[in-house]
Amino acid sequence: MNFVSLNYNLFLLCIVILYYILPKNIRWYSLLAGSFLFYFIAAKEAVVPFIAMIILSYCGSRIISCACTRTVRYRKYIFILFIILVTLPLFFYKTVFSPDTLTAPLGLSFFTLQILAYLSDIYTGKIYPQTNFFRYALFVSFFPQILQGPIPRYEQLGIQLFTGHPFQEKNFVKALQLILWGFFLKLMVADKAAVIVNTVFDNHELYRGCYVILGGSLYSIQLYADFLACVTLAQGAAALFGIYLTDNFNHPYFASSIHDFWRRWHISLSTWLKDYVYIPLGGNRKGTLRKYVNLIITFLVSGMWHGNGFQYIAWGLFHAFYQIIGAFTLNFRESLYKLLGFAPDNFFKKHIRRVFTFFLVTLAWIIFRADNLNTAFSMIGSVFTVHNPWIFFDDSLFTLGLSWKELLILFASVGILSVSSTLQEKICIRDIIIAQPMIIRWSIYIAAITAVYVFGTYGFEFHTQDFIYGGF
Amino acid sequence: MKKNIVFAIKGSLFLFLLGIILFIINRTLVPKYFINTSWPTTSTYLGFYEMPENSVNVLFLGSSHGATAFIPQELYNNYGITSYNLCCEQQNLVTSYYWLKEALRFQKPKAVVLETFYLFNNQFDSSEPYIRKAIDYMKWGNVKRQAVDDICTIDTNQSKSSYYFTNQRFHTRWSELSEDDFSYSQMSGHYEMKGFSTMFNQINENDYVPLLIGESSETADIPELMQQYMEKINALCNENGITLILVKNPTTSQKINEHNATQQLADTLNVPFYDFNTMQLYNDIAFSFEEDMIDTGHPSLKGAIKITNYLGKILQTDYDIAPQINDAWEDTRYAYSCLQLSSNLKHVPDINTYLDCLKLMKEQYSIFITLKNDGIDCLDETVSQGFNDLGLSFNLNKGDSTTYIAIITPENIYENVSNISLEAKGTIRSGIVQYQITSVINEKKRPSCSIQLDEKEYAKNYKGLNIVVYDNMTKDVIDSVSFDTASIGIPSLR
Repeated sequence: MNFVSLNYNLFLLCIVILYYILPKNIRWYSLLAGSFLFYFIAAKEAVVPFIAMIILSYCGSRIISCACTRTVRYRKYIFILFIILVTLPLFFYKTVFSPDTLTAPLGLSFFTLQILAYLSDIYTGKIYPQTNFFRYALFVSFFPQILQGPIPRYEQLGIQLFTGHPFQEKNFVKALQLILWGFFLKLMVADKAAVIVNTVFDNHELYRGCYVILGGSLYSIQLYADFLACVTLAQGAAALFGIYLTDNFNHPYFASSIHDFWRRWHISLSTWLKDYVYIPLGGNRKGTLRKYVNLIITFLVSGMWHGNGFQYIAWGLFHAFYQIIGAFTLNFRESLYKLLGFAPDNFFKKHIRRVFTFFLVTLAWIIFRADNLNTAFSMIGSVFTVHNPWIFFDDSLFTLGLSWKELLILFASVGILSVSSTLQEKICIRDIIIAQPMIIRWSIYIAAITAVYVFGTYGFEFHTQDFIYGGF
Repeated sequence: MKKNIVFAIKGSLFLFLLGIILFIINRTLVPKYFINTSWPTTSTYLGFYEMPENSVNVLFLGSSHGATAFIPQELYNNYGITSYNLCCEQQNLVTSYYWLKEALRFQKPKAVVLETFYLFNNQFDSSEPYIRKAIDYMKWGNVKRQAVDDICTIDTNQSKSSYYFTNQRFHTRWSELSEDDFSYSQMSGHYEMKGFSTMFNQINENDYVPLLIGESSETADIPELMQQYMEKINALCNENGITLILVKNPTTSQKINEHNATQQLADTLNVPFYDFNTMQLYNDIAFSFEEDMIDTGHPSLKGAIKITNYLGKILQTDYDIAPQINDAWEDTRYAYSCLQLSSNLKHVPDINTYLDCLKLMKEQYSIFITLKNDGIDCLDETVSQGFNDLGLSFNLNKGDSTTYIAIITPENIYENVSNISLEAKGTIRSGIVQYQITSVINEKKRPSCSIQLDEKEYAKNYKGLNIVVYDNMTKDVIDSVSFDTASIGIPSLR
């Protein structure tokens, strides 16, 4: 069930109604029932392995907890055993050992990391395990976030799930605002950009040079809008029940370095990797060389988590090397800025760094999106060898699947995303809308709904694209 | 609790308001094919629901080959038979079946005439846009629900929900919306032709040879789906005591094996079959493929009149469809005669006849007249009288420097004669269409003229009187002609 499908939204409506008509102390049962029903409808063939994972990890959590409290001698090995057992399915599906015909259970990448963090936090004593099996099952299976995260931590999500939240108009409206914004991001930005991106990447032999720059840049936007849309829809759906899911993005394309980018992009995964891979490996506490090795390993894991193609590994390594080279050249770059007369906090310097970071990220995304490594390098190579800048001035852009009117809508939508991101750094737009008189509020909502309804990329001839991160 | 109730009321109000807006948007986005288009499917189906209950005695069903061949008004004028043409482009038998079923909710026809072109068509999938044309304007009810279910089962590329939520199918039309999309209330009232699609041109080439019955006994295979729906149509007719009549209009695609197969099927179903491709029927109606067709499969107005009159005769004599008088058909006699005049206008060579036609139709037309003066010596009193009858004074001085422009609209008449260049600008149809008209004499005495509508040039700019006729109902220029006023007989040029 796609988050923008009619079926899903009707399903969500039913669960919301059920949630609020139940007494507060048992409201979480509706979430549990809804989550399992959702998983059954979306991937009934994976229900058994999914439940098996929940049972296994629940048992693991109880055993690790017991071992820790009784200071059992081999508790470390017990912990490692369960970590291996829980990781095995992900390892199987996400490596080259996995047959192409085998599809990973829905949400495997996300709930595996969620379980690993949970077990690890129990082992380190950060949290106590959930003793009620059904509550634990709800924590793992909570349907708005199971497909694409954000990857929750038990201490953040657990208590919210089991508390019966009262209906609050303001929160409910803010949740609906999030859902509307998610629809906008998905149908007006991501899926519209996908039309051009697919044309360029699926016909990479034909589209070279500046087409790759355009296709790559739009893919950067598509991926961000798509993933942000899914997370926003998940946050919106959860907020309908009064549950707050953490933000997964902090305007990543405003980053002024790759290091900064990873503080803003897929935050729940980045912090997971930092907390459970990078820091356990020693982080930056064991010297510069070890720090770089740890960085490479962390991004290697990140690449492998995304898929079993070499391009994902290459993409991860690209980001590791970006940061290593960035660290090596930091002094040189700062000297260069100084030589050119830029003050440390100069406005233009900040934007030059942003553009350059976006360019580097886009190159890596080309590797990420391409069918394989050879294709990726061939496409990137053509950026530097094929000279065709006129495509931005003649009508070539209109042959890529979108008419000039559609292209205008796409650029306007990207503009809205960009402006709202800038404003969002200083103010909360949703709160400002809520504070307006009813006629203004309703006008804004109706205009937004109408715009997505008319200009969105969906329906006949446009098969709404699956959420990209749903594939991971 | 009180706060929650207030919220529920506000929410319901918001959803109601939103629903109305989305309904209006959907109505705007769904394609419309009114009488100003070649295939006015929308007018056909909207108009059908406007017919008085149980007033239609004969129904026509089938594809475009039937839409251009059966003229309900001709049938009424000559035989008093009240009929309605429910044919449309690429209407396959599945669509025909459901439209028959729908029609029976409102009418009790005595006969159904089915054009069988689509009996041999197996390309159901490729007909999606045409199926939509036919089904989208069917009223919601059990029949439409069944039709949607069946269509989406047969063509799995179609989605049921897109029939209920038409935005799924048509929201991308936002970039191609035209005047018609915003004139629903104005245009939906024009269904005077009762489903007949008028075609004016003629093919002027003829490789067509009528079929000789018995020249071969081969039979073509009828696709299973079409056979199945033909049987369902027959069963439905039998249940309702309706005479089903199969007809095949002249077309180059009709082969003897298809004729034989259709005849065999007709015999099995015990229904009559009239194939106008057979030598005997073709000659009986004095059909000329060269003159009576607009292409290889669709009759022109002239051809349609021949086919309709033949059917009228047999419906009256062989199937006892009695003549009757009904206002719904009486009221459209004038519209039909206008249609015939309009269709003829571009073929009228004589200026006096032309002016007579304009006089008859001036309530419906906007007429633009300008003079490219290279001699007006051949204008005589009869021609001047013709212009007078249009409401113009037409006092032209017989000199080389005379310029002249005139604009006749249903609302007013503008006319100017001078010895210097003339220009007039304005709008017709209450400001919707802009015009600019000139009659120019320059310093070197070189005349020219121009008639622009919405910045598009329509005048022939040949010497003499240049006339452009705009049909206010179909919203289109229907003729542009020049009459050479310097030559004897005032010949026309187009």
